[in-house]
Amino acid sequence: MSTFQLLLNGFGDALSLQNLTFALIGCVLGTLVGVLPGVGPAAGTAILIPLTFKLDPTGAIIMLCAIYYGAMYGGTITSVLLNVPGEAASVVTCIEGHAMAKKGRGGAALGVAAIGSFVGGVFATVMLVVVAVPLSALALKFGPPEFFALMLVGLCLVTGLAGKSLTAGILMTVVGLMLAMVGIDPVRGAPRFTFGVPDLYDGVGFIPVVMGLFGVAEILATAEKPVREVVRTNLSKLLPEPEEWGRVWASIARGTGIGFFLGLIPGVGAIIPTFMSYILEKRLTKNPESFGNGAIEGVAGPESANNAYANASMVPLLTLGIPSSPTIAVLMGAFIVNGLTPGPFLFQEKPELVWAVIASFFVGNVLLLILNLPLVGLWAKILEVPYQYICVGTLLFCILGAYSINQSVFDVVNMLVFGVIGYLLKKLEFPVAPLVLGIILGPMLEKSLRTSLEMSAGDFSIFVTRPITLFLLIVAVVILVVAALQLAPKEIREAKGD
Amino acid sequence: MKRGWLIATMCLLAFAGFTLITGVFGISWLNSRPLPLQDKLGPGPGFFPMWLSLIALALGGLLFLEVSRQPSDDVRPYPVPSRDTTVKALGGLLVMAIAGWKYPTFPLLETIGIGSEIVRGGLSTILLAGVAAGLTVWPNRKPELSDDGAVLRIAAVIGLLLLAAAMLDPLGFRLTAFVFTGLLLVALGAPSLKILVPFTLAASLGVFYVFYYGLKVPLPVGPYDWMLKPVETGAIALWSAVSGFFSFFTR
Amino acid sequence: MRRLTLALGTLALGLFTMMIWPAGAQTFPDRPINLIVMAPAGGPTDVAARVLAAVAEKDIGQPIVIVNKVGAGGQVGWTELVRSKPDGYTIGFVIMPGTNTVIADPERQAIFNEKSFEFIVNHVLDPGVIWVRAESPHKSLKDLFAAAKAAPSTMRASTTGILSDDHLNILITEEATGAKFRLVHLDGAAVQLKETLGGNVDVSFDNVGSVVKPLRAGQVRVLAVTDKMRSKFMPDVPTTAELGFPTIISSSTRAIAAPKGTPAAIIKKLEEVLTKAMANADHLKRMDDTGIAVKPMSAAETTAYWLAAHEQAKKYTEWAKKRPQ
Repeated sequence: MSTFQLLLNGFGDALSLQNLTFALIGCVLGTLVGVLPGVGPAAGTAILIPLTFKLDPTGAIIMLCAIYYGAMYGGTITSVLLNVPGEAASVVTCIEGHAMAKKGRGGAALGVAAIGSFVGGVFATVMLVVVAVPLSALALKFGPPEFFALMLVGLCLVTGLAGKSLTAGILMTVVGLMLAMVGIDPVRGAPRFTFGVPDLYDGVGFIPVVMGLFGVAEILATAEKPVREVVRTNLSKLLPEPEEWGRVWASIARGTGIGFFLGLIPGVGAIIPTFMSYILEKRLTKNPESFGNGAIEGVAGPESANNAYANASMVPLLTLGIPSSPTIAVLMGAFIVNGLTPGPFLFQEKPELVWAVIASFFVGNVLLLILNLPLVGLWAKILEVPYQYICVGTLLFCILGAYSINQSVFDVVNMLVFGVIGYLLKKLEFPVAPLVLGIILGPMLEKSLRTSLEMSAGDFSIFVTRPITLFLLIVAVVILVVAALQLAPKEIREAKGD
Repeated sequence: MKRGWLIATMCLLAFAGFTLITGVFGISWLNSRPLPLQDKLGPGPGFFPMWLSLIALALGGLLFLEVSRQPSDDVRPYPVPSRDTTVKALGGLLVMAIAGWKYPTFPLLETIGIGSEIVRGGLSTILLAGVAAGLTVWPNRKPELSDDGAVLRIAAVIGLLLLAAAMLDPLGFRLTAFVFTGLLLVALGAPSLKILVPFTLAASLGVFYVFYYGLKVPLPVGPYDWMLKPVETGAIALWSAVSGFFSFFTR
Repeated sequence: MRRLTLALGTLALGLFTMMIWPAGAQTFPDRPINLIVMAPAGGPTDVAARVLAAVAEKDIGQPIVIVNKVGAGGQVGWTELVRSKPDGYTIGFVIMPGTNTVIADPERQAIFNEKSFEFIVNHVLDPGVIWVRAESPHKSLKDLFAAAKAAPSTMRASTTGILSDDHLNILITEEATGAKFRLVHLDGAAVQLKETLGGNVDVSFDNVGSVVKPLRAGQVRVLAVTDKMRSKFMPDVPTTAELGFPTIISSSTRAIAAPKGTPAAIIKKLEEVLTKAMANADHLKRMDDTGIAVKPMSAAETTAYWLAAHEQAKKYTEWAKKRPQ
C-alpha cells in the first residue's frame, strides 16, 4: 500500500466519532495545561497519562499527542495576556506578544500565533508523512553503535539549553547523566547507587521527576507569590492589519523551517528553535526599532517554529524510537504503558495505529485552530480562576498520576523531592531542562555503548568501521568544537539575557 | 542571587564528591559496594560514575570561580521568613517528614499494638490531620504577600504532600484526597465553606469515582471502601436526580 | 439536637466496634484477596492474571484484586509478597528462573530466598526458543552449532536481559554443545527482534510467546524449541530433545505463591479454586490467543519444580557472574 493510501485509511480511523472525541478532549485538556501557568506540556502530559488507562491504544495515543501539541498552543495565551510563559517554549512570545497586548493588539498577537502554529504544525506533519517510511526502513541499519553516536550528538547539543551560564548548563547535563546511573547497571546487571532500596532498581523514575521539576516546582513558586495581573486587551480583532500579512507569512515560513529541522535532532529542546527564529526575525526586519514594542513578526516566527518543532520531534520518536525532549520522553513512556514500543517496527506491526495517530495530528491542528481563534476569549476567562483551586487541583492530579503509574507511594515522594529541588533551582534561574535530558539520554547512552562492545567483543573499532556511526561521531566532534569556540550558544545566551 | 548560585554550586560539588566516593570505594553502611571501572569488554559499571563525577567536580569548580568573580547583588531569590515563622514551618515539616518516613504503616502505633489496621489508620489520620490543620491555619494569620506568608504556604504544600504520601496506601485515595484538598485550600487562603465543601467532596469522592470506576485507574481503595462506596453511589444518584428535576422544571 | 448527637454517637460507636472486631473467625476468605503481579497493567502477564482472577473469584466468593507492583525485574513485587501477612489474603506470581536468579545473585540483596514462598499452583510454562532471521545462513540447529564451534566467541547471541531465562538458556546450550557464543544483552523481545532482523546479532534466545507473531509473519526462522515436547503454537518446529540435545531444556514458568507460613488449609483451598479456574474454557482460549501455554501443576509438584529450577539457576547464575560478559 502506498503512503498516501495508508494515510487515507488513517484519516478514516482518526475521523471516527470515538477518536475524534479523544482528539478533541486532548486538545481541550492540552490547551488548558498550556493556559494554566505552572504546568508545562511535559508535566501536563505525564499527569494526564492515567486518563488513558482504559482507552484502546489508538485512542490513548491520539489523546496524549493532542494534549502535547495543545499545550504547546495554549502556552501562548498566558505569555500574551500575563507575560508569564505557560510553558518554556513560549518565553520569547512574552517579549513581543505581551508588548502587543499592552498596546491593545492582544487579539492580533493571539491570532497570528494560532495561524503560525497551525501552518508550522501542518507542514511538519506533511514532512513526517513523507519521511516516515524511508526513515523507518533506514532504522534497521540503526544498531546500537549508531544509537550511541546519535546520543552523543544529542548530548553535545543539549549544552545549547543553558540559560545564564554555559558552564551551569553542561554541569546540569552531567548531573542528569549521574542521576541516570541509579538503578540496575547495564554491564553486570547489578544494582548501582540504590543503597539497598528495591524501588530504586529501575532508576530515579523519569515521570515522577518530570512531574516534580516541571509541575510541583511551579506550584511552589505560584504559592509563594499568588497574585497575577491579567492584561485587559481587545480580543475582538484577531487578524493582523492587511499591510502586515506579507511580513507575517514570511516570518511564519522561516519559523516553520527552523522548527522543523531542529525538531529532528534529539536534545535540542523546544526553547532553541523559538529563540533562533526570534533572532532571525530581529535581524531581517526593516524596522528594528519595532522589536521590543510589539513587532508582529516576533510572535509569528517563534510560534510557528514552536509548533513545527513540536510536530517534527514526533519523527525521531516514531521512526527510530528516540525521545528528543522531556515531553516526547513522557509520550514515549505513554506508548510503552500502552504496550507499544515506538520505533521502526511500529510501522510494520501496527500500521493502522501509527497512521491513525499521524492523521490525527492534522485533525488536531484544525481543532486547535478552531479552539484558539474564535474561542480565545473563553481561555482568557480561565486565567481569572483563583489560583488556590488551580494549585490544589493540579497537585491532586500530580499525586494521582505519580501513584498510578507504578502504584507506588515511593514515586509520590520522589516527585515531591524533585519538586522541592526544582523550586530551589528555578528561583535561582539555574537551568533545569539539561538535567532532565541527561536523565533521559543517560541510560540509553550507557546501554548502547555496552551493547556495541558486546557485539564487537570489546573492540572499539566498531565505532569507526560503520559509516553512519562514523558520520554521526564526526558531527558530534564538530558540534563540540563549535561549542568550545562558544559561537552558537553565545548568541542564544545574549538573547536570553535581556 | 550570587550567594544562591555559590551555595547551589557547592551542593552540586558535594553531590559529585559523594557519587565519586560511593562509586569508586563504596560505603558499606549505605549498602553500596565499589564499582569496577573496567571489565574484559571495556568500561565497567564504575566507569561512567567515576568520570562523570570527575567532570562534574571540574565543571563545578569552574562555575564556582565564574560566579565568585561576578559582582555581588542584593537580589534575594527566596522569601526570608522571620525566626518565629521559620521555627513553625520547619517544625511542621519535621512532623510530616517523620510521618512520611515509613509511609505504608505508622510504626509507632503498630508497636504499641493499638487496635486493628483500620483503627490505627484512623487514629494516625486524626493525629496527623490535627497537626496539619494547625500548620495550615497559620498562613492565613499573615498578610498575603509577606515573606512569612510565602514560607508558610510553601511549607503547607510540602507538608501536605508528605501527609498525602503517608496516607495513600493505608487509608486509600478518597480519604487522602479529602484531607489534602481541604487542608491545602484552607492553607492557601480559606474560601467560604460554600465552595470549600463541594470542591473537597468533588476532589475526593468525585475524582475517585471517575478515575477508579470510569477510567479504571488503579487507585488504593483503603479500608473504608464498604462505607464510602454507598455514599458515592448515593451522591451520584442524588445529584443526577436533582439535576434531572431542575432541568425538567427550568425548561 | 442532643438526641441527634446521641444517635450519631451510638452509630459511630457501633461502626467502631464493627471495625475492631477480630476478623478471621469466619471461613476463608471473608474479604478480597490481593494477587500481586510484577508486570505493568495491560501487558501479557497482567492480562493472563486478570483472566484467571476473573474466573476464580466467582468460585471463591470474594473479589481477587490484581495489584501491579512493577520494578527491578519483579524484585519489588516479590519483596512486597514476602513482607505481607501469611494469611492467604496476599498471594502473587513467582517466575522460574526469574525469581531464582534474583535470589542467587548476591548483588541483588533480595530479602527473600528459596524458602520464602509457599506454592499454590503453577499457571503457565513458556518454553525457550532458538531463532534466527529468515535470511540467515543457519538453516538448522546443527548448522548453527557447527558454525559457532568453528569460530568460538564470534557468533553474536542475544538475550532479553542479563540473568533472564534466555541468558541461562545460552549457558545451558554452551555447556551441552561446547560451542561458545558472544553474548549480547538486549532490553526485551522488541529490541531483540529489531537487532536480529537488522543483522546486529546472529542468533537470539527467547520464549515461544514472544516469537509466535514474527514467525507467522515470516520474519524469523525458529530453529528449535528448548523443550521435550513440541509447542502447540509452532507445531512444525522441532524440539532440542528430538534434535539430539536432551539437556538443552529451558523455559520461563509462572507459578502462584503465598508468603511462607500461610496455613496449609488456606493453601489447600486456594489450590482447589485456582486449579479449577485454570481448566475453564474461556481462560484456556484467552491464554491461547497470547501464545503462552497453560501448565497446571499441584502445590507439591510446583514446589518440587521450583527447588529443581533453583538448583539449576543457582549454578548458572554463579557461572554467568564469573563469565567475562
